[in-house]
Amino acid sequence: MIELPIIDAVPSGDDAISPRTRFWRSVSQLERSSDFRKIAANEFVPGASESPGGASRRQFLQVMGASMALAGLTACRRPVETIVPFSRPPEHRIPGVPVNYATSMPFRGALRPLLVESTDGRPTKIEGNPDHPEVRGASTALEQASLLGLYDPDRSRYVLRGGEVSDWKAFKQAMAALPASSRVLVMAEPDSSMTMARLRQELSGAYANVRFVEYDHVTARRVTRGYAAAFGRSVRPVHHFSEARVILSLDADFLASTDPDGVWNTRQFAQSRRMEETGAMNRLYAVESAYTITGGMADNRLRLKSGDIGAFASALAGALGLHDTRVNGFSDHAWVRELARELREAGPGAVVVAGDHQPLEVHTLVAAMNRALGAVGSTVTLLDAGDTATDMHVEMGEALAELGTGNVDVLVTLGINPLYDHPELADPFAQAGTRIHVGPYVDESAAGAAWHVPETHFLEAWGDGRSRLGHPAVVQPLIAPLYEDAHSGIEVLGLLASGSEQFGYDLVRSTWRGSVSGDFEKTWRRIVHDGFLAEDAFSEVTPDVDGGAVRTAASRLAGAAAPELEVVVRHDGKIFDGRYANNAWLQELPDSVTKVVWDNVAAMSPATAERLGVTAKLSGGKYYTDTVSIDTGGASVELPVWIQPGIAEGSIQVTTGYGRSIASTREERKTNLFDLDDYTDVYGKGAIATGVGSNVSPLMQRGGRIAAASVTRSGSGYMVASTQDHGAIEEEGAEVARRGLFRMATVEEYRANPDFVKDSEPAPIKEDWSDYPSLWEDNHPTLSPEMQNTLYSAQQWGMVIDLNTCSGCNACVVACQSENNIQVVGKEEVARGREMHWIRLDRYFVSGDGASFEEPQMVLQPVPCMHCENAPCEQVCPVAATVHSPDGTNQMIYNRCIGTRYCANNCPYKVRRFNFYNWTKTLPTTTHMAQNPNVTVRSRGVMEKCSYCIQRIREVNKQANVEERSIQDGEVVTACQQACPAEAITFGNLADPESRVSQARRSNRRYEMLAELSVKPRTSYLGRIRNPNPTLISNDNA
Amino acid sequence: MAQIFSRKANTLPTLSLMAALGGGVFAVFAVWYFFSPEYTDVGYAPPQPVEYSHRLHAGQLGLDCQYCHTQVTSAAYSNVPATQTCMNCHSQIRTESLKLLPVRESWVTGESIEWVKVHKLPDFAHFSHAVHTNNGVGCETCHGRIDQMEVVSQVEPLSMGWCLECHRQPELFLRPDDEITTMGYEPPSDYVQQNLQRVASEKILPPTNCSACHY
Repeated sequence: MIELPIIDAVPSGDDAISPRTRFWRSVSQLERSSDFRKIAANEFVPGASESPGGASRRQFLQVMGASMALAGLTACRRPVETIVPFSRPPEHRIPGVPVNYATSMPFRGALRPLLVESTDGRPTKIEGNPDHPEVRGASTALEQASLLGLYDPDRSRYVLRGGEVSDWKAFKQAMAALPASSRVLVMAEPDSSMTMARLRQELSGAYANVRFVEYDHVTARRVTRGYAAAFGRSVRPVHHFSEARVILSLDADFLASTDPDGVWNTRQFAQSRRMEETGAMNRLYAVESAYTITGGMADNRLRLKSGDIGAFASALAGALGLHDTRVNGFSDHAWVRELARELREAGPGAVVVAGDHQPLEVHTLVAAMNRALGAVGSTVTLLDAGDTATDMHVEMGEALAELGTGNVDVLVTLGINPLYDHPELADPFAQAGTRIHVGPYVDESAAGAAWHVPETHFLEAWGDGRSRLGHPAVVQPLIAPLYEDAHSGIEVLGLLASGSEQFGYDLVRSTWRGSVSGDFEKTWRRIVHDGFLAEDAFSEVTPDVDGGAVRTAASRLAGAAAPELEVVVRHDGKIFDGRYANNAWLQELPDSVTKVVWDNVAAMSPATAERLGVTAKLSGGKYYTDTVSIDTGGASVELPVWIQPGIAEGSIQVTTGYGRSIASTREERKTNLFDLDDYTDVYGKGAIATGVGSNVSPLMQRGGRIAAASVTRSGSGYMVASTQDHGAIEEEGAEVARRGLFRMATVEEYRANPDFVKDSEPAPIKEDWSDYPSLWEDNHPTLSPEMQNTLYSAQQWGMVIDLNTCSGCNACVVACQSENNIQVVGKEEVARGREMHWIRLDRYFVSGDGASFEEPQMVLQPVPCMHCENAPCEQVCPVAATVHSPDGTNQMIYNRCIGTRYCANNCPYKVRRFNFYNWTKTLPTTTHMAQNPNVTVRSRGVMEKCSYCIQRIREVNKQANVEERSIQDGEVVTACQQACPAEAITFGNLADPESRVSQARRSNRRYEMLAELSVKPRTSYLGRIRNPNPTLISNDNA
Repeated sequence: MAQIFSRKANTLPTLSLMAALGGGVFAVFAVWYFFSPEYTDVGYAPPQPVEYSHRLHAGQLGLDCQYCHTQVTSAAYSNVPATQTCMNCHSQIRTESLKLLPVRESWVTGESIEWVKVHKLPDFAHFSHAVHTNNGVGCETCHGRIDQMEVVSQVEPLSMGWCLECHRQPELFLRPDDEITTMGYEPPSDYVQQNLQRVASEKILPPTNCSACHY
């Protein structure tokens, strides 16, 4: 065992840091509600041990009686297990040994580079492509969870003709029979696929009249159009935050997973955040209406309605000299003046970003500001991404008009769901002669279509395209399509264009054959192996700004004012626009800021809630909220309220993607009286997206995302499941002085006092614990020869999490879920605190003592198992089911566990998860394929927790043993570490003084959470440093 | 009043107590033995879809274990050979044999042969063949004299206690690397001494901590 010293507690008298900073998770904690105190004082949330709501005591006793009677009748024969080798084996395939393939995920018009692990012929884990310059191996929660989308049991399986099951053969015949005189309209998302572009050309040659509509519902079209207006040509702005010293975010959540450059931005931002390496730290200003994770990382944050951001931008542009229109209310704003000064001073080190739901005029101004500051070419590069629009493309309005007049014979929608986003399109769509819906689900848009063709997932189809920076890439399938009738968009277009079936592989290869010079096969193998081509990325352009366009935009925005009560519709951070609504992992993922699961909410600030007369109450461990009816001029939408500190006054934040309805072909599982597991079956009642949340698309009148709203209270007592209080460790209380769970300081404080984290150590209350004895001081198990003289002892694993760069994006949570077979429990169970995530993100608001909770800061802290050397859990297990390994990790031995839950009770970090039910018993068969075969699947009654990815450690142990070598630093990478875009998690061998983790541990920002308990955690944290502008701090939040 | 029970009935309570105790002891012993892998697993010799005889192929013909089980030194699972391996010879030898009909059918149709697994470890125990065969554990040590089996049967219980016997004292069971696949290996008289030296020099440390196999 590593002799980790017991930390000397220093009495915290006059703190150098803000003496009155308080960390709180929710309003309930701030109000010291008794419900919160119950949660904080106990391991399990109230109600966690209750039996499921559906089963009464009578039913329970019946079941118990029946099981007793039937106990003797279980089969006594040994079950037969078979080994099934191939008949003709594929070369180089070893059963059980995974192989990695490079591919890409199409997302928002570009490709996200991936490396997918394939075990026994099916993909089991997704990672970022480690060689790709844009991601360097990292990924977001969306890529991680998309694996489950492949195995989604509710995916459409059959071709449907008029709603009745048909087959691909019939579809082919019908398509071949289409007359060449047909007028065809194809609606699809903008994409970067070269094959698609080629097929569009071919298609237009095959029929008399072919038109294309870009359904750019989710692309950042306002950004593109805004920048295009500023520069007079289309450009793609890509930001380089690592070069930036001053960053201004205007309602832009550029660190989010859903941002087209999510991973790139996060990694770059983290780079210029690391003071130790660069000596200086960037400064992030956020002006936003909602609380986003970008706002959480911000050094200075201003709450402003989204509708006012335009005026703010206009005033700022004026202060930078781009125009001279006066903007009422903002031209003299302290922020505008100070920002203009800072940005001008930073020059090429400055960058301004605006959110993609802001009107395009804002982006025009942002583009001009970046150009004026000299940021273009340094912190922002403008790429010539080419224009996918051709002269066959028409605008959506024109297309609808054509449809309305019956001028369209064949309407094909590829992979989009327009009738969910715009239910009013049902009428024009019905006017088309034949409507063909190609999509992964039988969803809202499939209803009424003449043909529905199931679409392949990107993991089972060929494709191509370009990444955000323009690197050409190929999408290679990891598995043949799970369903015979499933075909990709290019295959359907290929069929339409040529009249005969064409396979995706041939289509993509013939596209590439046409464009590759030199040896085609060699280049093809290279791109399929690497996943991308390093050359041929988009080139940079530096056009001049159109001053007139800027002035027009500025004056238009200057006059605009936010409505008194606005509603802002954003893409949900997990479900996005609805495409991931049926993804159980993403539904159960707590939203980074609100921590709400399985629901969308109308989030508003406490003051706004009070004004509207709505509340949310914590009662019995669950939140019961009022519901409101929101109306922006169209149909009204009913949503539960969520009180969220930090949202601008008079602004209501809602997210898209919920309220889906998917018709699933899966049979509903039949249940009988004795089936108590029916209650916990997340998949039991059809598609899981059905009935979750409400569709907010009626709020987007004429495509606008920011609108005036009238809001009325419509009900109460709606249960919202949120994990914000789960795992609460009391930061302060009567018995405990400030615990310093999350330690932060400003740059000045850090420079003056580099050991600021030590100042946050709690003061000893009753005893001086410098000689606090270890329970096993003389014979700690890890000092025994069995533990010291083993082949694992050379490695002592430890982890360091850098809170300075962690933005709270949730990538680690889903990566861990995917790697470790963590099950989904459903809304009701999450509300009872039974979520199974091994790593959780604790979200704290930070405010000065006595201050209101209107303007707090927000910080996020990942909490996995600390793998304490002096683990309190190991000491109380009656059956020694949780033991210390010779390499320093605390391991859960599932087969020994009898479910006492004493270990979880003793864990001060509350990181242990208990399987209250058998979550895997009712899993649909296809979901089984997503499980990692190297990790035990846990049954009911067994405790589980973060294992430092022991399966990966043991794999490397065995490999090194067979190869007779030692383990190198960086060979073992935990799932969370691998996924993190900010590289915030460092893991490795503490016994090696030169390993990255040992170097990280030498940082003076390092501290251990709850170290005063003498548990000697192997996971430590690096305190956060903030760089606020002292002139813009509005209250005593230091 | 007449007694219902005769004096002889006085022995009943003592007798029933002894019987209960004895029965209890017997029940414990019965469960301990009859439910242990030594009883339930050893001797398990299920019929296979193809009457493949290791006695003929590995014994009489002298095929090495690794000719078919090719990945035993490089992977966790030792693979059961694909039909292609069988057809290496049987495309020319015994091409009309009825016993080989399922093999030929599998080869022609591409359908796999579903062999019945004989040595089964529970899912919560992770075992790697590669680590063992590369460190001096012979096939015979755990699987017995396969070359004498018409039908493969399990000869060792493969229980955790049995594994620990070797893990705690590897010097009693190791053999030189070039004798791994030898059937009927006769170790030299000083093999324990040699093994002790080998264990020390090659740092062969079979783990006995829980998380080595259970994770």
